[in-house]
Amino acid sequence: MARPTAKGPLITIAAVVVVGLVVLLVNMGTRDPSGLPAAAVTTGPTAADRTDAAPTTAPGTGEAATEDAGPTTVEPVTGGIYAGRTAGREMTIAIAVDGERAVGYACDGKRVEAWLDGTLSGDRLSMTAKDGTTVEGTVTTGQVDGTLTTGDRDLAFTAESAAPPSGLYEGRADVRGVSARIGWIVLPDGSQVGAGKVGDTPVDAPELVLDGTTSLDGVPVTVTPVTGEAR
Amino acid sequence: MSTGPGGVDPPTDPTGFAPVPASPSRTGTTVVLVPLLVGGLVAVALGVYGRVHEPTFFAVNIAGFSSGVAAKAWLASVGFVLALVQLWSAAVLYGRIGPRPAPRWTGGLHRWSGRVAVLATVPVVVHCLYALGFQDGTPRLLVHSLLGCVFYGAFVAKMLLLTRRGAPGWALPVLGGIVFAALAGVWLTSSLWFFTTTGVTF
Repeated sequence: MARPTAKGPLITIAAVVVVGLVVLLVNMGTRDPSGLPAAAVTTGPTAADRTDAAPTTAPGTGEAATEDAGPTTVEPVTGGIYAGRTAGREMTIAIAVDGERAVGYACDGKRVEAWLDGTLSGDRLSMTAKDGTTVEGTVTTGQVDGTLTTGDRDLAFTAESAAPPSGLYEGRADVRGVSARIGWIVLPDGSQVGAGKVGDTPVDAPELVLDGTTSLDGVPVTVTPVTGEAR
Repeated sequence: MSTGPGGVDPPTDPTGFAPVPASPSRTGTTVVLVPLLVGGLVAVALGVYGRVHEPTFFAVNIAGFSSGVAAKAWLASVGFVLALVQLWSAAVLYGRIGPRPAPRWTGGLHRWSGRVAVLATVPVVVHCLYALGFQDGTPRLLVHSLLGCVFYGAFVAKMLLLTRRGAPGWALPVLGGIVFAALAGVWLTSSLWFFTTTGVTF
């Protein structure tokens, strides 16, 4: 066996750097087919800035998106956002808490979805949806544990604190005169689960992209991060 | 080691890397200092990049990962299994376990399993840093983010130390141990967490 030279470890470092750069470029380059620069979402303030500013500025961004017909960059919000799954992975749930107010969304990624509304009293979380789905839970540091009751099923869940860009997003669109509403949950591991309705008809959620190019059946969707604030 | 010139050298480098002639003024500890400094800078730089860079998160669905996060978990697991090979081969090289003297191939095994291990983690860390960033929302995320930075810093420090001669005997095992421990922690707080919460999926 040829004895390695002392350059071996340096070559190893160089190989790691080269592979890393190639993967990074692939990451950035694959966004080009949409015609958008990879930096489309980096035009906002830095993550550090946004952590402070987002709770107040994000809803404004959402309203601006409603007024502008064109694509608008959506700022992910921060704050008391929790996301997770039920123990049996039947449903994915996201909860946004702001003070004593809480809103949430639960869906199975296909046809079952519920927008929830409720309150936080102490550490007790209680939310209900129009279809009778309820969520009861306990909020602790960085986590919500609780039970999601939908139909006749009681599903235990744990939701972890979700830092941007993970969290809860709501999409609105006008599909040929019929209003559509879509919910997406982006989990802390980066995966997204969503569902939606056009009128009363359930539809598959389109892929959520945060640079304003989310579309449903070719119709642009206005995406707003959901916080606990009044909607 | 058997090729150490004249037997006057401190015992170094059982991995078989040829030592670089050192300037006589260097003492053992200062030889360690520069790799440690560079490694520390690497760790801090990665953390700062992860914190400042705007997470893009949609890299999730591209970047060559057909099955997204599961692919990350498996790649990281490949790295971790090879890290166990690293631990074993290092112990053999140092004569702690197995045959003595260590078989000739253990040096090659240690080097190449290490290279493959760290290369397997590269697509994962690029995704972590580019798409998700440094996060501290939960203890798991904080520990994972910190250890991820420590891992690459310690890796760079260890590689640089290998190219230097005259380092104290403890330096290489300690740095190697930090590299292994950091990767183990990173794996426990990501892949194992993923497999236990999501199930063993491909």
